[in-house]
Amino acid sequence: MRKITSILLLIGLVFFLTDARMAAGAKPRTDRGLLVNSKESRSFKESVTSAPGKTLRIDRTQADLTITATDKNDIVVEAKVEVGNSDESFVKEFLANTKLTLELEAEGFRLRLTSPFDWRKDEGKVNLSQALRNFIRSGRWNISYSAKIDIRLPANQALDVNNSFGHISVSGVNGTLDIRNESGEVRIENCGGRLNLKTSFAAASVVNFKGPLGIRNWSGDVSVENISGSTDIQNSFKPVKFRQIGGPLTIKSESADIIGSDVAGDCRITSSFKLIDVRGVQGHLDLRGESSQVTVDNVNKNVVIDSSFKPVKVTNVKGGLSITSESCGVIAEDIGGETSIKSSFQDITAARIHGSVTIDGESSSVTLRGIDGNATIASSFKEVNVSNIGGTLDIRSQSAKVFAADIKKNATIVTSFNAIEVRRVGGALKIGGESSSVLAEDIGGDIDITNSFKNVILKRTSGSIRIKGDSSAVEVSEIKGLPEVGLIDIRTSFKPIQISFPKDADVRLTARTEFGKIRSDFPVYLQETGDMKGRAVTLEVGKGTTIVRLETSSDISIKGDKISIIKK
Amino acid sequence: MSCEQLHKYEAGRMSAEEFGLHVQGCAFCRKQIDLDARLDTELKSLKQPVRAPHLWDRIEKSLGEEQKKSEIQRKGRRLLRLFRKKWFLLVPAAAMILACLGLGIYLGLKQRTPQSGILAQKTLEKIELKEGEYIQAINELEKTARPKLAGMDLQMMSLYRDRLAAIDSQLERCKEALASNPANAHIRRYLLAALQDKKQTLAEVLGYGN
Repeated sequence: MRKITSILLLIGLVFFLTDARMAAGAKPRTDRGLLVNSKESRSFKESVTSAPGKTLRIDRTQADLTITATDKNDIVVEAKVEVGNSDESFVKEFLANTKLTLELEAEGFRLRLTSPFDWRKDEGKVNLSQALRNFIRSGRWNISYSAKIDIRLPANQALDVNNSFGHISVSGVNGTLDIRNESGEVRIENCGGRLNLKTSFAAASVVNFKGPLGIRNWSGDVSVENISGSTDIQNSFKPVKFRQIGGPLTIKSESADIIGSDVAGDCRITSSFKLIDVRGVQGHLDLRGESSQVTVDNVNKNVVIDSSFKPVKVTNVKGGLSITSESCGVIAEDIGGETSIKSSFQDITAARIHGSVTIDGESSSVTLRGIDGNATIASSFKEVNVSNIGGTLDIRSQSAKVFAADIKKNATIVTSFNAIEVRRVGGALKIGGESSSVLAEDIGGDIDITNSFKNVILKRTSGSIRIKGDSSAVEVSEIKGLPEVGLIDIRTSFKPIQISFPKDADVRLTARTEFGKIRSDFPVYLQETGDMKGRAVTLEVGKGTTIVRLETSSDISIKGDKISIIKK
Repeated sequence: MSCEQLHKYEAGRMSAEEFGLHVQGCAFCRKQIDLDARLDTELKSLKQPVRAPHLWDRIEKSLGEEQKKSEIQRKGRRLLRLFRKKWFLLVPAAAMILACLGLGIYLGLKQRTPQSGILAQKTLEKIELKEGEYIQAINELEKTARPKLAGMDLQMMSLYRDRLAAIDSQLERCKEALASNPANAHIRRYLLAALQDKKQTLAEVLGYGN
């Protein structure tokens, strides 16, 4: 019974003591008996009747400022100044000579918190004892000072604040807000009008601002959210975050992460060496990010990006896209308009582009998929892989392997020292492949190939064929179609030519070989006169409307396919 | 609660020997010395090359929590002893609990008294000592970092030079402000943040390219 009683009473008292202690706040360290050795504070209060549209100027303060709007016409200022020093009399005198004034000015009011700190500038104007003057003059200044100022004012006021080494908080004020601070956080909330904020070395945040704003924050974080007007931010070395900007947005930063979304207007961003992540821009996006990793998604108009050395990823752009970069991996997907990408030494991938694509990728592998318009690629040394091109294809490369498929119109491919594979081209195909093997299948138009030292294999062609090879073996088979007045002209050296004709082809063929043999499934006539005597044959099949010329210094094989020509 | 002898000792009006004798018989002063020792341990983390984030806030919080805990425990023990003897207080006990709860809630909702913006002198001296050690560590770090900076490519070198110049500018401003306001907690906090920033930047320079 005793125990229960004790416990119940103890619980009650613990509640009381804990809450009371929490309400009082943690006791200042000085309550241990510490000093500085003497510390005192003094409270001030001033008020004045103002009117909407007036300006309150607060200058040269070194204090925490809390500015809150009210529905009254009065400006009410409450300040608490705390001073510490080894000498109690100095502390008392210092506080006695500290003044809070609210003076009338032409455009409104000026708030000043003056103390003997200001004595050195306004010598003689402050009533100090000789001892304190001597103390100050001696330079052995160890008075310490801290101030907090709470200001309540009418909602429609302009502010002109110049502060340092204190935090500033402003809420509910509408007007031109000119705020300058240094080494102290600034928070602007639920305000409106026009904001010009300059600060440094601490975070600045603006939330729910109705109007345009400009922020300059050197070496300080910037965070803006729900801004109805234009937004202009300059900062360095610390992150910038933004969300729901109702107008155009400009950010100029240096070595800072820029992350944000939902911009109603155009967006212009410059940064370096850090991440840039922008999503949901209704206007144009212009982005400069030297050595920055860039991610862009969901832009309603055009996107222009200039970056280097870090990956770039752009998705869901309704307008066109232009990327100029150096040593950047690039991914572009779901782009509504013309797309141009320049990079080097890293992979470039573009897919689902509803316009033409131009790629300039030195030593970059290039992958294109699903391009509605024309595709033009300049690259080198790395693989080029394209498919589903709705327009023409033009690849100029060097020492790159090329794979191309499903090209609706003409295709032109130039490369060297690596294989070329092309399948299903609706128009003509032109290939320049020094030391490149060539495989082309299902080509709807004329074919023109120049290559050397490697094989050329053509299957299911439908147009004229012109092959100029240098030590290239050539094989042509499964011919689907031959133009009515067409030409097959295959010349090579040191390697054989093998060609198969459909059984109902109409060709007139001449085959010449310097040192090889000619085999034919069709009856041929041997040339018995002239400089090719005994080394050339002719044949004619059907109407002989397609001219065929075969020439090599090796063997020639002329075969008959069992398939028929596909008539157009 | 406080102790006049502790006041005198910290004001320099009592010698260490005299204070040592006093401490033997004063539980309060013994407790303060323990807290000081803990402060020293916390502040030593400033020397660590890897982390000392939010040091200032941790010190304040640690000291405050320690005080709260020791006060509550002491009062609890006293009450327990009291009510062991006066068991007949059971009847009004329940009423008292309810009243205390109500009062506690009221006091808990009451606005807290803001913390002081001026550092206590002893804490200030310790902070200055630790800042000095921090600066010394940074100076050592700089000796290795500067040659590495000179060997970087032009872009990175410019970037890090700009950043270090900005931090040095902030350090100068803080020192200038502290020259006329040495115990201001806000300025000390920003000086510490700038020192940490400089340390981190120099560490980045040393780690670049590795």
